[in-house]
Amino acid sequence: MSDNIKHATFLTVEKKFRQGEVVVAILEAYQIVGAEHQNRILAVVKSGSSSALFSFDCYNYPPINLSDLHITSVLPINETFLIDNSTAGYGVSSHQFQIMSGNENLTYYYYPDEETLRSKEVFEKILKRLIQEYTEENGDFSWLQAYKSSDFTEIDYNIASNKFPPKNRESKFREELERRKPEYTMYEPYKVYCATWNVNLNQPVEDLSLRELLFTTNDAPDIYCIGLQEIDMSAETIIKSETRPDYNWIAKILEGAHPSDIYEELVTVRLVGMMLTILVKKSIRSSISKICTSMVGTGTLKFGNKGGVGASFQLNETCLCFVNSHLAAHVQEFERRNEDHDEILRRMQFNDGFKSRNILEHDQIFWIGDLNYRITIADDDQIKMFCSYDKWFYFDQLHIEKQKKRVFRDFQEGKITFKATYKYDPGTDEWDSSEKSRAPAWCDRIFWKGSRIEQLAYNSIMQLRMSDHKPVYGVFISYILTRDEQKFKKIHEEVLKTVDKFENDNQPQLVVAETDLDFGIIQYHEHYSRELLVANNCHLPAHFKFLPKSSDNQRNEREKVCEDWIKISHPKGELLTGNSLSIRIDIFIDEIAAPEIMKKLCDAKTGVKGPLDILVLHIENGRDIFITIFGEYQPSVFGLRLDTLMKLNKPVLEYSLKELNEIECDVNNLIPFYNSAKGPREIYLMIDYLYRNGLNIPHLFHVLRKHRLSPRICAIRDWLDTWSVEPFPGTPQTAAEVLLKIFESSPEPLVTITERELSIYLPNFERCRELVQNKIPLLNRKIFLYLIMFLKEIQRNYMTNGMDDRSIAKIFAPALCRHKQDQLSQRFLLLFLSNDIKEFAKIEFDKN
Amino acid sequence: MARDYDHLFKLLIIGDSGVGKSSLLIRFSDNTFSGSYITTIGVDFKIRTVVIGGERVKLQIWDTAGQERFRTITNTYYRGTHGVIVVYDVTNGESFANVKRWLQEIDSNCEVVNKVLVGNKNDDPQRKVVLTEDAQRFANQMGIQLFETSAKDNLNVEEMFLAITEKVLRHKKQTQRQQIEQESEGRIKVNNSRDQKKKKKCC
Repeated sequence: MSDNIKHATFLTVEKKFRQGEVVVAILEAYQIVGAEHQNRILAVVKSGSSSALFSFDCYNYPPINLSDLHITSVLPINETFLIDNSTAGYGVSSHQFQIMSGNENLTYYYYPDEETLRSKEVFEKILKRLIQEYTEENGDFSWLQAYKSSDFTEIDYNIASNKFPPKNRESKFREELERRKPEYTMYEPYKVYCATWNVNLNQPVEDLSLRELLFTTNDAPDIYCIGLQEIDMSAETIIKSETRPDYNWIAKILEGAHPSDIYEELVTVRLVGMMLTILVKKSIRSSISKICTSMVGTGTLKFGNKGGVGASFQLNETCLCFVNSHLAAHVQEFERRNEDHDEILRRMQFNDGFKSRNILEHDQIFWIGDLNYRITIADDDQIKMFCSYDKWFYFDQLHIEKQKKRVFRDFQEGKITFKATYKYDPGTDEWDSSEKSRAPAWCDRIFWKGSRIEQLAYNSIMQLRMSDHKPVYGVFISYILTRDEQKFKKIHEEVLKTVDKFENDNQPQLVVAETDLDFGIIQYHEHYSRELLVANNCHLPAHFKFLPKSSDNQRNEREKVCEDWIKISHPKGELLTGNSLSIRIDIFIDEIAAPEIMKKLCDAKTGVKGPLDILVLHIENGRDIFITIFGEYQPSVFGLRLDTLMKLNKPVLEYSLKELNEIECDVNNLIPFYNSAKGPREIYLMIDYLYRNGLNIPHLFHVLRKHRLSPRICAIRDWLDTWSVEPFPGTPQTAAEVLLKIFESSPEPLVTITERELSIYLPNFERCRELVQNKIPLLNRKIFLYLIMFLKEIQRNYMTNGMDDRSIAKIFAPALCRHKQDQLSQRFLLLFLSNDIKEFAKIEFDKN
Repeated sequence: MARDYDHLFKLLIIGDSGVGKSSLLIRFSDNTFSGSYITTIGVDFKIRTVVIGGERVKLQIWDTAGQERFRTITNTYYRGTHGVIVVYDVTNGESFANVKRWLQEIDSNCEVVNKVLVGNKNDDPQRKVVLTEDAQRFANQMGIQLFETSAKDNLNVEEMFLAITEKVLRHKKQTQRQQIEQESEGRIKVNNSRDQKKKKKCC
C-alpha cells in the first residue's frame, strides 16, 4: 500500500482506540477463514505496559469512517502469543503466517510485493520485541474487555446484503465454546516415549527383552509409540501388502513397557515390514478418542516395502499424530527418500468418520523411523574412527536436506549424542565387516512438531544387538490441553445464555408504519387502495410473507391469506437491511364479493365499523405482525337477495345494516313485498329503459362484457340506491351490464334448478316448464319469465342488434343459473327463448 | 455435544391485553423491563435455554396479542404448544374474570397441555384488586398452579417459568416412560406368540 494510503489507514485505525492506547504498527493482510480470504488490517496496540494485536475486518478500503473497521479478533500479547511462519508452503502460501494466542489460531497471508514484505518484517520485529517485553507483572489486559463485543446486532455487511447466510445458532454455540476454551482448559504434562528399531527381519525370540529399550526412565511414560521396521520383508508379505499386526512383537512390546504401571495397546498399524504400536497407561485410556490409523506405501510398486504407517488420536483436547516410516535405502538415493517423505506427508490421511485430517493438521506430531539418510563422505573409516555426530552432521544427508527445507520442515530434532545406529555386524557392536562394508550412518531418528513439547532424552541402545541397526528412543514431556469439568459446566451455561441472546438478537425484524389500515367507506364496484409501508431496520435480511389463516368453521375451505376481494401487491418478498417497501392493499367489491361481504358483516354482528379482515405478516424466523383492515361497507342493491329488493320500502342507503340484515334473514317472507310488480324495481327499471332505448343497439349484451368496469356503473349504483328522480345516468350498454350484475350479485341464483335436473328433463320443453313451476320460487319464476319475454324482444330485433338466441343464452346462462358448466343451462334458456311462453307467463304473473 | 440442547419446548403466553405478557417474556429472556407500554400487535417469540437437572431445555416462548379482535387468529398459535401461561393483572379485576374464557380457549385449541395461572403486576398492594385468596381458590378449583409475579420488580418470574418448564419436562418423561412400557409389553406379547408357535410346531 502506498505511504499515503497507509498513513490514512493508520489514522482511521487510531480513532478506534481510546486515550492512552497507542497504535504501534499496522499491517494489511488477508485472513484465511474457511475457504474465504477476507481483507484484514492488523494493528498492534499498546496500553500501559501491555499490548495486544487487533484484527479488523475492513468494509471499505482504504477505511475512512470508523464504521468501515470492525474488530474480528483481539489477541493479547502474552506468554502464549506466537507469530509463526512455519506453516508457509511454496508459491502463494509462502507468504502465509499464523498468529496464536491462548487458543486462538489465525492464519493470514500478505501481499507478495517487496514493500509489504518490508512492513511485515518491521511488524514482526515489533511483535517479537513486545513478546519479549511481556512479563506476568505487566500483563494487565483488562483494557481489552472494552473491545470484546457480544453485541450480535452489529451489522455484518456480508450477511446484511445477503452475500452470506447468517451464522446459525449451533455454529455460534461451537464457536463460543471454542473461544472460551482457555477459561475451562489447562495444559497438563504427559510423558511420551518414542522408540524406533529396524529389526532386520529378526523374530521376537523368547530371550529378547525390550525392557532395555522401553524402560529407561524412573517415571512411567503415559504414552509409548514404538515403530519397528523390517519385521518381515518376504516376497509374500510384500505382494500381499501385509497389514495384519504381528502379535508376537506386540506382546514383546507390552512386556517391555515400564513395570510400574499398567499399559494397554491403544492401536497398532502395520504395512509389510513397518509396524507402529501405541501403548497408553490404562488410567488415561478414557481421555482418548477419535483413534484412527493410516498407511502409505511408497517406492516403485507402492506395495509398502517402504513408506509409512501412522496413528492419530485425541487426548483430552489435543490432537496427536504418530508416524513410523521406512524411507528408500542406499547412499545415493537421498532424493527418493525426500520423495517418500513428501508422499507420506501428502497421502497420509486420518479419517475419524466425521473429519479427515492430514499429518500437519495435528497439534503435536511425532515422526520416527528408519529414515535411511546417510553420511556422504569419501572416507568411511574416518567415521568409524570418530563416530560422533557433532563431527559429521555437516555431511548428514538428512541435516543437509532439512537445512534446504526439503524435508521435515518445521520439525524439530534433539541433539544427537549417540553413535551412528547403522550398520553393525548383528550380535556385536562392531561395524559392518561384510564385503559391502557399509559406511556408518544415523539412519534411525526421532522428529517432532508442535508447541509445548520438551525432549528429555534422545539416545540409542547399544546392547540390543540382534539387528544390524541399534534402536533409538526419545522421551518427551508433552503439554496436553485438558478440560476442567467443573469450570466447563459453568462456562457451558454462560455460553448457552450468550447463544440465546445471539438467537434472539438474530431474529429478522420488520417494522410497519401502521398496523391498522382504514379504508373508510367502501362501496360496491369502487376501487380502493392503501399503502402498507414495511421497512427493514435490523442487521439481517428479512423474508416476509402473508400467512394463510385456517378458518375453524369451514375445514374444507382452502386456507386463504385474506378475503377474495382484497389483493396484496407483494404476498411475499425479501427486504435487505435499510430497505423499505410499500405494499399496496387493494379492495374491490364485485358481484361475487358483494353478497360475501354482506354475509360477513351480518354474521359478525359487530356493526359496520368492525375489522373487515386481519392479515398476518410473517417474518421468516421472526415474529408475525397482524394488519387489521378496517372499512365501512355501504350496502347497495347489488349483493342483496331478490326478495329483499322487493321488500325495501325506501332507498337501500336509508336502511341500517341491522335492518337490512333482518330483511335478508326473512326467508319465510313475513315482511310483505313493498311493490306488487313482477320483479324488483331495479330489474324493472333496467328492462323498461332497455325496451325503450336498447332494442336496436348492436350487441347490447356482449359476450366479452365490454362495459363490465365502466365508471357509469357506479353512477347507476348511486341512482338505484338513492331512488333518484334524476334522469337515468347510464347508457343502454351499461344498463344491460347492470341488469346482468343484479342477477350475478344476488346471494342465490335466479334459476334454482340444478345441472342434474336439467340433464334429466332436457330437451323436453313441457317437462322443463314443469321444472320451472316446481323448482323455482314464485318471485324468481315471475322475474325469469319477465326477463325471457324481454330477451325474446331483443332476439326479435336481431336484424338491427345482431343478437340471436344463441348469443343471448350464452351471456345469460351463467348469470342466471351459476352452474359449473354452462352447456345445459344454455340449452335450457334456448328452449325458453324458442318456445311460446305467453300463456305460461300470464298464468304465473297473476299468481300472488 | 453436537446439539446445544436436550429438549425443545414451545410455551405460549395468553391473557387480556395489557396484563404484561410481553413484559414477563422480556424479563425472563433478557432480564430487562421497560415501563413504556407497547401493545403487541401480532405474535412474538424469544428463546431461552435453562438447565434443569443437568438437562438443557430450550424454550421457545410465544407472546400473543391479547386484543379481542385477534382472538380467532391467535387460536392458530396453540398448535404444537407444550405449555400455556395464562396471565391476568392483579390490579384489573376484569382481566381475572376473563381467565375462564382463556382457559376455555386452551381446551378448545389443544389436547393435553400444561398450564400455569399468573397474576402479574403484583408490586403495589394499594392497587391490588384480585386477592390472592380468591385467585388461589379459583386456581385450586381449576387444578392449576398459581403464581403472583411482577415483571417490573422481577418477582417470581424466573420461578414461574421454571415451574411450567419442569411441569412440561416431567410430562414428557412420563409420556416417554409410558410409551416404552407399552412397547415392551407389546414385545413380550410378540415373544409369547412366537413361543406358542414353536410349541405348536413341537406338538
